[in-house]
Amino acid sequence: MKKIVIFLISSFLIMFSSVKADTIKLGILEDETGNFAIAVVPKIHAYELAVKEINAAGGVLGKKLEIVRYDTQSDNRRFQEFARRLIKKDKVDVVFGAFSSASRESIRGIMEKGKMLYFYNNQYEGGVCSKTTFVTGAVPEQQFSTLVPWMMDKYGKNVYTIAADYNFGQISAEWVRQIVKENGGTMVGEEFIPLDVSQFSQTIQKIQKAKPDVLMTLLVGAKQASFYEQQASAGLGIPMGTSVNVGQAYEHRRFAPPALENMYVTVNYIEEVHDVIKSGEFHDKSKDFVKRFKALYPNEPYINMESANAYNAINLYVNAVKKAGTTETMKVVEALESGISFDGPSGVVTIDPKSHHGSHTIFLVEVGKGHKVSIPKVWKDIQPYWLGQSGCNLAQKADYSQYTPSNPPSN
Amino acid sequence: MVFLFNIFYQFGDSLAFLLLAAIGLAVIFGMMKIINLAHGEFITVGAYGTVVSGKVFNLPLPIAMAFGVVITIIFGLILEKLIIRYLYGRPLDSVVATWGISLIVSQSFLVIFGPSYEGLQTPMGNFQLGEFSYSEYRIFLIFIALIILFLLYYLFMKTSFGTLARATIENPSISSSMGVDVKNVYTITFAIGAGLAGVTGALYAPTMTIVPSIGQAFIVSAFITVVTAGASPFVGLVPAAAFLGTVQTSVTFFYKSTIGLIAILCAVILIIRYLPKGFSGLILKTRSK
Amino acid sequence: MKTEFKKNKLQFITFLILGALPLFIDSFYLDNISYFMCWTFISLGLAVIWGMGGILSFGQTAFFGLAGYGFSVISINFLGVAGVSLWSIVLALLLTGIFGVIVGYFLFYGGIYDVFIGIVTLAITLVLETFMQQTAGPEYVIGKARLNGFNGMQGMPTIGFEKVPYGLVEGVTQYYFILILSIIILISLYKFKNSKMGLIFLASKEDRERVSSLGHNVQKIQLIAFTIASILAGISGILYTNWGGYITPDSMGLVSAALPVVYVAASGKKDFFSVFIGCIFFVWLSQTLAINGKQFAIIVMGLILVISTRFFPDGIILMLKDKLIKKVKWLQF
Repeated sequence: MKKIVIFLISSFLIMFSSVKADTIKLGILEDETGNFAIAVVPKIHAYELAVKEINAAGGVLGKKLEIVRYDTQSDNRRFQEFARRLIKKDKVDVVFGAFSSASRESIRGIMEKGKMLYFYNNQYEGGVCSKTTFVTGAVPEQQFSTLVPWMMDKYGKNVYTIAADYNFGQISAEWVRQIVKENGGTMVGEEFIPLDVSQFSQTIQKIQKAKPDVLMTLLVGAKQASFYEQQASAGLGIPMGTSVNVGQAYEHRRFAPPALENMYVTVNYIEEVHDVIKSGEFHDKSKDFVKRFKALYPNEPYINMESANAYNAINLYVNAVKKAGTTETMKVVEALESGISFDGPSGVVTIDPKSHHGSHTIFLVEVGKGHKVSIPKVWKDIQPYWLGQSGCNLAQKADYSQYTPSNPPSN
Repeated sequence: MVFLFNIFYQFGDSLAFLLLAAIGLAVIFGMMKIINLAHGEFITVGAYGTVVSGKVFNLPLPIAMAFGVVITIIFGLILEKLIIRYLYGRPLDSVVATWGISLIVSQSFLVIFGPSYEGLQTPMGNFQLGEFSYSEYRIFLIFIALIILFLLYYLFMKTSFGTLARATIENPSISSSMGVDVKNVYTITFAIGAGLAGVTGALYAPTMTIVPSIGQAFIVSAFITVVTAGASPFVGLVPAAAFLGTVQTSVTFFYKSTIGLIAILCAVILIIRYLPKGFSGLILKTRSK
Repeated sequence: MKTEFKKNKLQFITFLILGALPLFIDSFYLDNISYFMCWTFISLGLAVIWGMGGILSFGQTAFFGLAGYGFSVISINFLGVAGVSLWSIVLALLLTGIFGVIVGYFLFYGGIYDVFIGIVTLAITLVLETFMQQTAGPEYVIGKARLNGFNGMQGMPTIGFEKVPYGLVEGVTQYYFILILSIIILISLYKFKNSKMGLIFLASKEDRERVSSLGHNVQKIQLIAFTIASILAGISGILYTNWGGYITPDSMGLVSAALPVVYVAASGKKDFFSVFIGCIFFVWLSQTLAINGKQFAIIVMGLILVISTRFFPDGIILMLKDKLIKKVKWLQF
C-alpha cells in the first residue's frame, strides 16, 4: 500500500530537467488514434520522412532536427494539453499539426500567445490570417475555383450542395455558391447535415426532386461518408464534386465500387499521380516521393495529399531557418514572408507573404468505373488569392483572426 | 402516388433505423435495466463480423451476416460471465463498466483492423418511380425490422421462456425460490440482447462506412427510442419509433436535418415529462380500460 | 464523529501537500495540475446529486458548456472594462444557476426520476451541442461575440494572458485560486451534507415517498441540490474556458458528458474527498496514458474502469483511502 502511495505521489512530482540540447526541436501534434487517424497516420510518417532526409543531409545550421510528438487522439482537449506541454516543457522551436479545423482553432490561440511558430498542414475552409501561423494545405479558392467551373462546363449549370453543418461545410458551401453565381450557374438546392447523421434516404430524395446537373458533396467524417454507398444503392447517378474525399481518407480504395463512381475532386497531391500521368515533371516527382516514402514505410496503405503537405511544411520551415540563420520565431517568420518555396512531391509550393498560405499544383481527379482514378486536368501554380485580395496583409500588419467570405478583414 | 410512396419510403427508412438501433438495447436496457453504453460496440462487433467474414472467407452476404450475429452472441456471453453479471441491481454503476467496455472494444478494432475496413456493396438493386429512384435493400430493411420486432414480441410476451425471463427480472428472489436458475435466465437474456445488436450491425454493415466507431451512429437513437417506448419495450417500440420517425422526417422536410435532430431530442424530453411510462404505458392503459 | 475526524486529517495533509507544491515544481507542472483541478468541480456536483441523492444526471456538461459560453460572450462584450473576467464569472454562474433551476423544476416537479433523469439531461446537453455546432455563420453573434460553431470560441480574456485588468494571472496565482476554491467548496459541501437538509436529501435516496410522507418537501431539496450541482459544473466550465482560452460544442457532446460520470463512479461517489482526488487522478492518468501508451492508451483506460467497477463497487479511490487510513496508524488519531 505504501508503495502505491509513494508511486502516485512521485509520479505527480516527477520533474524532467530540460537540458538544452543542440538540436532543433519540432513539436508535432497529430491524431494517431481516434476518428481522424485514417487520414493522419500517413501525415505523421511524412514528417518523419522529411526529418530523416534532412538529418541524413547534415541537418540545418549544423544542428540535427528532433521530433517531439504526442498523440492527440482526435480530441481537442488533448490538443490544448499537449500544445502547452510543447511550449512550456519541451520548449520546441516550431509546432506542426492538427487535422480538423476545430483542433487547429483549439491550439492556435495558445500558439499565438506563446509566440510559437505554427504550421497547419491540411486542406481546410480557409481564412486564417495569423502572424505566427502558416498553412501548407489547400484552401477553397484553390480547390473550388478550379473544380466548380470545370464541372459546370462539362455537366451543366444547375448545382446542388450537401454539406456538413459546421464551419468547414458552411464556409465551403458559401464558396461554391459564390463561384456558381460568378460562372452564371444556379443553385438548385443546398442542405446542411449534422455530423452525427449517417442515414441519407431523405436527402437523396430531396436531391432527386431538384434535378441538379452537379452535386457538390462537402461531407465530413465516417458517419457522413455512408452517403456514398447509400446514393449508389439508390441509383442517384449525378456527377459529384468534392474537396474532401479521395485526397484525405482514400475512400475510393476503401469503399466497394460503385459508391464513389462519377466523383470529381481537386487535390494538390495523391499517390496515384505518377501512375496516371505517364511522364513529365509531376510523374517524376511523385514517383520519387512514393519510392522514398515506401522505403521507410513499406506498409503505408495510402500516401494522401496531407502527407505531401506535411512533407512540404518541414522543408519550407528548414529553408526558412537556413535563410534566417536562426530558429528565433520572428526571424523565421520574416524569412518565410520573403517568398520561401520548396520543390515538393507535386511541384513548387511558395508561401504567399500576405496570407501565409502556400501555392499549389491542383490535380482534378476523376473516380471512374470500378473506382479507377484518372486525372483529366492539371492546374499549375494556383495561388491562395482570396485573403490577400480582401485585406489580409501579414507582412505589413500583424493579425490573429479567421475570416470568411461573408466576414472579410476590414481594411 | 409517387408522392405517397415517397412518404412511405422516407418514413419507413427512418422507422427501420430507429427500430433496429433500439432492438438490442430494448432487451438489455429496457428489460434488464443495464445502462449499456457499449451498445454501439455490440453493433460494431456485428458489422465487423459480417464484413470481415464476408471478405476473408468469401461468404455470401446472408451467411456472413449470420456469422456476424453469432460472433456478437458469443461476445455478449463472454462479457456477461466476466463483468455484466456483477452489475445486476447496480444499474447506475453499469455506466462505468460499459463505458470502459466500449473504449476497449472500439480501440481494439482500431488496433486490429486499422482505422477503416473495406466495405461491402449494398445487395439488391434499385428501381425507378417517376423522377425518383429507390434502393430495394432499404425497403427490405423496413420489413425485416418489423418482422424481427414481431418475433421479439412473440418470444418475450408469448413463449414460456419469455414469461420466465420477465418474471425473473421483475423479481429475482421469488423466481429463485421457485426453482428458476436465475443466473442462466439473465445470461440468456443478455445474450439475446447482444445478438440483436449484432443483427443491427450485420444489416447495416453493407450500407455504411466500416470504421471502429460505426456503432456510435446508433447509440443516441437507440436510447431515445427505448425510453420513448417505455416500461414494456416490446409493446411500445413500434409506436415510439413511428412517432420519433414522423417528427424527424417532417421537421427535416420542412427545415433541415439539424433542426430534425434537435426536434427528436426535444420530443423525447417532453414524452418523458408527460408520458413517463412511454408509449407502452399509454397502450396498456387504453387496453385495460 | 471520530470517522469524520480521520477523514479530515488525511484531507488536511493532502491540502498541505497541494499547498506547498508550487515550492517544488515548475510552472508547466503546476499549470497541468491546475488543469486537472478544473474538472473536480463538475465531478463534485455530480457527487452531490448522485452520491447523496441518487440522481444520476448525464448532462452536467450542459451547464459546463453554458457557463463556458456565457463567460466568453459576456467577457468579450465587455473587454477592457475593469474587472471584467471576475464579474463575467459571477454573471455566467448566475445564468447557469437559473438554467439549473429551470431544468431541475422540470425534472423534479414534473415527476421524472431514476434513469429518466439521465436521459432527459443527456438529451438537453446533446440539443445544446447540436445547436452550437452549426452556429458558424455571421448571424450567430451576441453583441461583439461570434459563437463560431463547431470550431469554438476564442478571444475571451483568459487566465494568464496579458492586458486583462484585474484578471487572474497564470501559474501560481491561478493554481492557488483553484486550490482555495476547491477547499472552500469541499468544506461547504460537508456542511451541506451534515445539515438537516442534507440528511433529508440523503434519506430521499433510499425512499423518496416515505421521506415525503414525513412532511419534508423532497422536491424542493432535490431542486436545491441540483442547482448546486449545476453551478459547480458551471465553475468547471469557466475554469476550463479560462485555462485554454477556448470553448467548443464538443465539450457538451456524448463523450464529454460521460467523463464526469465515469470519474465520479470510479472514484467513489459517496465521498467528496475521494471524488476530488479521483478526478485529478483519472484526468492525469488519461493524459499520461496518451503520452506513453500510444494506441493502447484508451484500451488501458477502459480496462481500469471495467476492473475497478467489477472489483471495487464503491470506487477504487474510496477503497484505497479506507485501506490507507486502516494501515497507517497515525492517520487515525
